[in-house]
Amino acid sequence: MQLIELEQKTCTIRLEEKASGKKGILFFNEGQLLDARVNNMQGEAAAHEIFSWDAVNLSIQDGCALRENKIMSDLQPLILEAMRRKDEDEPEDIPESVIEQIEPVGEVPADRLIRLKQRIQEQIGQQCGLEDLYQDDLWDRRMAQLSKAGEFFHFGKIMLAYIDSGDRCDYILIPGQKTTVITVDPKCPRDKLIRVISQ
Amino acid sequence: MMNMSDLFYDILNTKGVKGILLFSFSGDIIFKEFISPVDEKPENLDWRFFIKSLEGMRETDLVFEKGRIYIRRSEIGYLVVLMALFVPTAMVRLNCDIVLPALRQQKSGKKLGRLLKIGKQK
Repeated sequence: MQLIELEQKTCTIRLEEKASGKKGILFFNEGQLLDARVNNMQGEAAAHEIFSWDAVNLSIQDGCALRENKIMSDLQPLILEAMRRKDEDEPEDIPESVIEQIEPVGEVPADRLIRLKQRIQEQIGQQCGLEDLYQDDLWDRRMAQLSKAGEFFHFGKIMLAYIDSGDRCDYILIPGQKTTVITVDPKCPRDKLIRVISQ
Repeated sequence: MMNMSDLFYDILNTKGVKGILLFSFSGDIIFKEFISPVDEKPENLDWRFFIKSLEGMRETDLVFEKGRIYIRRSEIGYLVVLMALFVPTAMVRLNCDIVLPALRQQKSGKKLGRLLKIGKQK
Protein backbone atom coordinates (compact mmCIF):
# COMPACT_ATOMS: atom_id res chain seq x y z
CA MET A 1 0.00 0.00 0.00
CA GLN A 2 2.78 2.37 0.95
CA LEU A 3 4.49 1.62 -2.39
CA ILE A 4 1.33 2.57 -4.24
CA GLU A 5 1.27 5.84 -2.32
CA LEU A 6 4.99 6.46 -2.94
CA GLU A 7 4.83 5.66 -6.63
CA GLN A 8 1.61 7.63 -7.00
CA LYS A 9 -0.13 4.73 -8.73
CA THR A 10 -3.70 4.84 -10.00
CA CYS A 11 -5.25 1.46 -9.43
CA THR A 12 -8.08 -0.57 -7.94
CA ILE A 13 -7.21 -3.28 -5.43
CA ARG A 14 -9.63 -6.11 -4.73
CA LEU A 15 -8.98 -8.05 -1.55
CA GLU A 16 -10.44 -11.13 0.07
CA GLU A 17 -9.74 -11.93 3.69
CA LYS A 18 -8.79 -15.60 3.71
CA ALA A 19 -10.25 -16.39 7.12
CA SER A 20 -13.71 -14.90 6.69
CA GLY A 21 -14.04 -14.68 2.91
CA LYS A 22 -14.95 -11.00 3.30
CA LYS A 23 -14.28 -8.95 0.20
CA GLY A 24 -13.25 -5.35 -0.14
CA ILE A 25 -12.00 -2.81 -2.65
CA LEU A 26 -9.52 0.04 -2.36
CA PHE A 27 -9.52 2.82 -4.94
CA PHE A 28 -6.26 4.72 -5.46
CA ASN A 29 -5.79 7.74 -7.68
CA GLU A 30 -2.21 8.94 -8.11
CA GLY A 31 -1.24 7.29 -4.86
CA GLN A 32 -4.10 8.77 -2.88
CA LEU A 33 -6.66 6.44 -1.33
CA LEU A 34 -10.00 7.82 -2.56
CA ASP A 35 -12.40 5.25 -1.20
CA ALA A 36 -12.72 1.79 0.30
CA ARG A 37 -15.67 -0.58 0.31
CA VAL A 38 -16.57 -3.62 2.35
CA ASN A 39 -20.12 -4.97 2.44
CA ASN A 40 -22.24 -1.94 3.23
CA MET A 41 -19.34 0.13 4.55
CA GLN A 42 -17.59 2.86 2.61
CA GLY A 43 -14.83 5.40 3.17
CA GLU A 44 -12.63 5.42 6.26
CA ALA A 45 -14.69 2.83 8.15
CA ALA A 46 -14.20 0.36 5.30
CA ALA A 47 -10.48 1.23 5.06
CA HIS A 48 -10.01 0.51 8.78
CA GLU A 49 -11.72 -2.84 8.33
CA ILE A 50 -9.59 -3.81 5.31
CA PHE A 51 -6.30 -2.70 6.89
CA SER A 52 -7.05 -4.86 9.91
CA TRP A 53 -7.16 -8.06 7.83
CA ASP A 54 -4.34 -10.54 8.29
CA ALA A 55 -4.19 -12.93 5.39
CA VAL A 56 -5.60 -11.77 2.09
CA ASN A 57 -5.80 -12.68 -1.56
CA LEU A 58 -5.55 -9.60 -3.66
CA SER A 59 -5.56 -8.48 -7.22
CA ILE A 60 -4.40 -5.14 -8.50
CA GLN A 61 -6.00 -3.64 -11.53
CA ASP A 62 -4.72 -0.58 -13.38
CA GLY A 63 -7.06 2.40 -13.34
CA CYS A 64 -9.58 3.77 -10.90
CA ALA A 65 -13.21 4.30 -11.85
CA LEU A 66 -13.81 6.76 -9.03
CA ARG A 67 -12.84 10.41 -8.85
CA GLU A 68 -14.67 11.55 -5.72
CA ASN A 69 -12.50 11.48 -2.61
CA LYS A 70 -14.33 9.98 0.33
CA ILE A 71 -11.28 9.51 2.55
CA MET A 72 -9.82 12.68 4.03
CA SER A 73 -6.77 11.06 5.55
CA ASP A 74 -3.32 9.92 4.49
CA LEU A 75 -2.67 6.22 4.21
CA GLN A 76 -0.27 5.91 7.13
CA PRO A 77 -2.63 7.21 9.84
CA LEU A 78 -5.38 4.97 8.48
CA ILE A 79 -3.17 1.88 8.71
CA LEU A 80 -1.97 2.81 12.18
CA GLU A 81 -5.54 3.38 13.38
CA ALA A 82 -6.60 0.02 11.93
CA MET A 83 -3.68 -1.68 13.72
CA ARG A 84 -4.53 0.08 16.99
CA ARG A 85 -8.15 -1.08 16.79
CA LYS A 86 -7.05 -4.59 15.93
CA ASP A 87 -4.68 -4.69 18.91
CA GLU A 88 -7.48 -3.58 21.18
CA ASP A 89 -9.74 -6.33 19.84
CA GLU A 90 -7.21 -9.15 20.17
CA PRO A 91 -4.58 -8.38 22.82
CA GLU A 92 -2.90 -11.78 22.58
CA ASP A 93 -2.73 -14.59 20.09
CA ILE A 94 -1.52 -12.60 17.15
CA PRO A 95 -1.46 -14.92 14.13
CA GLU A 96 1.77 -15.74 12.32
CA SER A 97 2.81 -13.58 9.45
CA VAL A 98 1.01 -14.38 6.28
CA ILE A 99 1.97 -14.74 2.68
CA GLU A 100 -0.03 -12.64 0.32
CA GLN A 101 -1.00 -14.24 -2.91
CA ILE A 102 -0.40 -11.39 -5.29
CA GLU A 103 -1.73 -11.62 -8.77
CA PRO A 104 0.05 -9.69 -11.49
CA VAL A 105 -0.80 -6.07 -12.09
CA GLY A 106 -3.31 -5.70 -14.94
CA GLU A 107 -4.85 -9.10 -14.25
CA VAL A 108 -6.17 -10.75 -17.40
CA PRO A 109 -9.95 -11.08 -17.28
CA ALA A 110 -11.71 -14.37 -17.94
CA ASP A 111 -12.25 -15.54 -21.52
CA ARG A 112 -15.88 -14.53 -21.42
CA LEU A 113 -14.95 -10.96 -20.57
CA ILE A 114 -12.37 -10.83 -23.34
CA ARG A 115 -14.90 -12.10 -25.87
CA LEU A 116 -17.45 -9.53 -24.72
CA LYS A 117 -14.90 -6.75 -25.00
CA GLN A 118 -13.94 -7.90 -28.50
CA ARG A 119 -17.59 -8.06 -29.57
CA ILE A 120 -18.21 -4.51 -28.38
CA GLN A 121 -15.11 -3.16 -30.07
CA GLU A 122 -15.78 -5.03 -33.33
CA GLN A 123 -19.40 -3.93 -33.61
CA ILE A 124 -19.08 -0.35 -32.42
CA GLY A 125 -15.44 0.47 -33.02
CA GLN A 126 -13.12 2.65 -30.99
CA GLN A 127 -15.92 5.13 -30.23
CA CYS A 128 -17.57 2.51 -28.01
CA GLY A 129 -16.28 4.39 -24.97
CA LEU A 130 -15.35 1.18 -23.17
CA GLU A 131 -12.91 1.85 -20.32
CA ASP A 132 -12.75 -1.23 -18.14
CA LEU A 133 -14.38 -4.60 -17.77
CA TYR A 134 -14.29 -6.74 -14.63
CA GLN A 135 -16.35 -8.87 -12.28
CA ASP A 136 -17.40 -7.44 -8.93
CA ASP A 137 -19.70 -9.16 -6.48
CA LEU A 138 -20.23 -5.91 -4.56
CA TRP A 139 -22.93 -5.15 -7.16
CA ASP A 140 -24.71 -8.52 -6.79
CA ARG A 141 -27.28 -7.46 -4.19
CA ARG A 142 -28.12 -4.29 -6.04
CA MET A 143 -28.62 -6.24 -9.27
CA ALA A 144 -30.92 -8.66 -7.46
CA GLN A 145 -33.09 -5.77 -6.27
CA LEU A 146 -33.19 -4.14 -9.70
CA SER A 147 -34.25 -7.39 -11.33
CA LYS A 148 -37.25 -7.69 -8.99
CA ALA A 149 -38.95 -4.73 -10.67
CA GLY A 150 -38.86 -6.59 -13.99
CA GLU A 151 -40.26 -9.73 -12.41
CA PHE A 152 -43.16 -7.76 -10.94
CA PHE A 153 -44.12 -6.34 -14.34
CA HIS A 154 -43.57 -9.69 -16.12
CA PHE A 155 -40.61 -8.42 -18.13
CA GLY A 156 -38.65 -11.63 -17.57
CA LYS A 157 -35.02 -11.89 -16.54
CA ILE A 158 -32.78 -8.84 -16.37
CA MET A 159 -30.26 -8.69 -19.20
CA LEU A 160 -28.32 -5.60 -18.17
CA ALA A 161 -28.47 -2.34 -16.28
CA TYR A 162 -26.99 0.92 -17.51
CA ILE A 163 -26.23 3.30 -14.66
CA ASP A 164 -25.39 6.97 -14.78
CA SER A 165 -24.38 8.15 -11.32
CA GLY A 166 -22.88 11.42 -12.43
CA ASP A 167 -19.41 9.92 -11.86
CA ARG A 168 -16.52 10.24 -14.26
CA CYS A 169 -17.74 7.02 -15.88
CA ASP A 170 -21.05 5.22 -16.36
CA TYR A 171 -21.55 1.57 -15.45
CA ILE A 172 -23.08 -1.30 -17.38
CA LEU A 173 -23.92 -4.26 -15.17
CA ILE A 174 -24.51 -7.75 -16.49
CA PRO A 175 -25.93 -10.34 -14.09
CA GLY A 176 -24.10 -13.58 -13.44
CA GLN A 177 -22.64 -15.57 -10.59
CA LYS A 178 -20.64 -12.41 -10.06
CA THR A 179 -21.88 -9.20 -11.64
CA THR A 180 -19.88 -8.16 -14.68
CA VAL A 181 -19.13 -4.45 -14.58
CA ILE A 182 -18.27 -2.46 -17.69
CA THR A 183 -17.17 1.11 -17.11
CA VAL A 184 -17.77 3.41 -20.06
CA ASP A 185 -17.32 7.04 -21.00
CA PRO A 186 -20.60 8.90 -20.28
CA LYS A 187 -20.44 10.15 -23.88
CA CYS A 188 -20.52 6.60 -25.25
CA PRO A 189 -23.21 5.54 -27.75
CA ARG A 190 -25.41 4.18 -24.97
CA ASP A 191 -28.22 2.65 -27.03
CA LYS A 192 -25.79 0.95 -29.41
CA LEU A 193 -23.85 -0.49 -26.49
CA ILE A 194 -27.01 -1.76 -24.84
CA ARG A 195 -28.07 -3.38 -28.10
CA VAL A 196 -24.73 -5.11 -28.67
CA ILE A 197 -24.40 -6.34 -25.08
CA SER A 198 -27.94 -7.62 -24.73
CA GLN A 199 -27.70 -9.60 -28.02
CA MET B 1 -50.02 23.92 -11.44
CA MET B 2 -50.36 21.01 -13.93
CA ASN B 3 -51.69 17.73 -12.67
CA MET B 4 -49.43 14.70 -12.92
CA SER B 5 -51.39 13.00 -15.74
CA ASP B 6 -51.01 16.10 -17.91
CA LEU B 7 -47.36 16.32 -16.99
CA PHE B 8 -46.65 12.78 -18.16
CA TYR B 9 -48.98 12.91 -21.18
CA ASP B 10 -46.19 12.95 -23.79
CA ILE B 11 -44.28 10.11 -22.17
CA LEU B 12 -47.39 7.98 -21.80
CA ASN B 13 -48.31 8.61 -25.42
CA THR B 14 -44.98 7.47 -26.78
CA LYS B 15 -45.57 4.24 -28.70
CA GLY B 16 -44.59 1.25 -26.61
CA VAL B 17 -44.61 3.01 -23.24
CA LYS B 18 -46.67 0.87 -20.89
CA GLY B 19 -46.86 2.97 -17.80
CA ILE B 20 -45.30 5.41 -15.37
CA LEU B 21 -44.73 5.32 -11.66
CA LEU B 22 -43.33 8.06 -9.46
CA PHE B 23 -41.81 6.84 -6.22
CA SER B 24 -40.83 8.92 -3.23
CA PHE B 25 -37.30 8.41 -1.88
CA SER B 26 -38.80 6.28 0.87
CA GLY B 27 -40.42 3.90 -1.64
CA ASP B 28 -44.03 5.15 -1.55
CA ILE B 29 -45.91 5.48 -4.82
CA ILE B 30 -46.72 9.15 -5.45
CA PHE B 31 -48.25 8.63 -8.87
CA LYS B 32 -48.94 5.76 -11.23
CA GLU B 33 -50.64 5.37 -14.57
CA PHE B 34 -50.69 2.39 -16.90
CA ILE B 35 -51.71 2.15 -20.53
CA SER B 36 -53.34 -1.22 -19.91
CA PRO B 37 -54.41 -2.75 -16.60
CA VAL B 38 -51.70 -4.52 -14.59
CA ASP B 39 -52.16 -7.95 -13.00
CA GLU B 40 -51.17 -6.86 -9.55
CA LYS B 41 -51.36 -3.50 -7.82
CA PRO B 42 -47.85 -2.07 -7.39
CA GLU B 43 -48.90 -0.97 -3.90
CA ASN B 44 -48.95 -4.66 -2.94
CA LEU B 45 -45.17 -4.84 -3.23
CA ASP B 46 -42.70 -3.35 -0.77
CA TRP B 47 -40.60 -1.12 -3.03
CA ARG B 48 -38.29 0.19 -0.30
CA PHE B 49 -35.38 -2.11 -1.14
CA PHE B 50 -35.74 -1.47 -4.85
CA ILE B 51 -35.68 2.29 -4.25
CA LYS B 52 -32.75 1.90 -1.89
CA SER B 53 -30.84 0.06 -4.60
CA LEU B 54 -31.18 3.18 -6.79
CA GLU B 55 -29.27 5.32 -4.29
CA GLY B 56 -26.56 7.35 -5.98
CA MET B 57 -27.96 6.76 -9.45
CA ARG B 58 -29.02 9.71 -11.59
CA GLU B 59 -30.36 7.71 -14.49
CA THR B 60 -30.82 3.97 -14.92
CA ASP B 61 -31.82 1.89 -17.90
CA LEU B 62 -32.83 -1.68 -17.09
CA VAL B 63 -33.12 -4.09 -20.00
CA PHE B 64 -35.11 -7.28 -19.45
CA GLU B 65 -35.99 -10.17 -21.77
CA LYS B 66 -39.41 -8.72 -22.58
CA GLY B 67 -39.27 -5.06 -21.69
CA ARG B 68 -37.31 -2.10 -20.42
CA ILE B 69 -37.52 0.12 -17.39
CA TYR B 70 -36.10 3.61 -17.56
CA ILE B 71 -35.55 5.32 -14.21
CA ARG B 72 -34.75 8.95 -13.62
CA ARG B 73 -34.00 10.62 -10.32
CA SER B 74 -36.01 13.79 -9.71
CA GLU B 75 -36.15 16.21 -6.82
CA ILE B 76 -39.16 14.46 -5.35
CA GLY B 77 -38.24 10.86 -6.04
CA TYR B 78 -37.69 8.39 -8.84
CA LEU B 79 -39.61 8.47 -12.09
CA VAL B 80 -40.00 4.94 -13.46
CA VAL B 81 -41.08 4.42 -17.08
CA LEU B 82 -42.16 0.95 -18.16
CA MET B 83 -41.80 0.23 -21.85
CA ALA B 84 -41.43 -2.34 -24.60
CA LEU B 85 -38.01 -3.26 -25.96
CA PHE B 86 -38.48 -1.38 -29.23
CA VAL B 87 -39.23 2.03 -27.70
CA PRO B 88 -36.89 4.83 -28.80
CA THR B 89 -35.40 5.56 -25.39
CA ALA B 90 -33.81 8.78 -26.63
CA MET B 91 -37.35 10.15 -27.01
CA VAL B 92 -38.37 9.00 -23.54
CA ARG B 93 -35.18 10.50 -22.10
CA LEU B 94 -35.88 13.79 -23.83
CA ASN B 95 -39.46 13.88 -22.51
CA CYS B 96 -38.16 13.18 -19.01
CA ASP B 97 -35.72 16.10 -19.39
CA ILE B 98 -38.74 18.31 -20.10
CA VAL B 99 -40.83 16.92 -17.23
CA LEU B 100 -38.21 17.09 -14.47
CA PRO B 101 -38.23 20.90 -14.01
CA ALA B 102 -42.02 20.76 -13.72
CA LEU B 103 -41.73 18.15 -10.96
CA ARG B 104 -39.39 20.55 -9.16
CA GLN B 105 -42.11 23.20 -9.37
CA GLN B 106 -44.63 20.72 -7.96
CA LYS B 107 -42.29 20.26 -5.02
CA SER B 108 -41.85 23.99 -4.39
CA GLY B 109 -45.62 24.44 -4.88
CA LYS B 110 -46.22 21.89 -2.15
CA LYS B 111 -43.77 23.66 0.15
CA LEU B 112 -45.55 26.96 -0.46
CA GLY B 113 -48.90 25.29 0.23
CA ARG B 114 -47.54 23.93 3.49
CA LEU B 115 -46.29 27.37 4.50
CA LEU B 116 -49.66 28.91 3.71
CA LYS B 117 -51.37 26.25 5.84
CA ILE B 118 -49.04 27.01 8.75
CA GLY B 119 -49.76 30.72 8.28
CA LYS B 120 -53.50 30.08 8.42
CA GLN B 121 -53.16 27.97 11.57
CA LYS B 122 -51.35 30.83 13.29
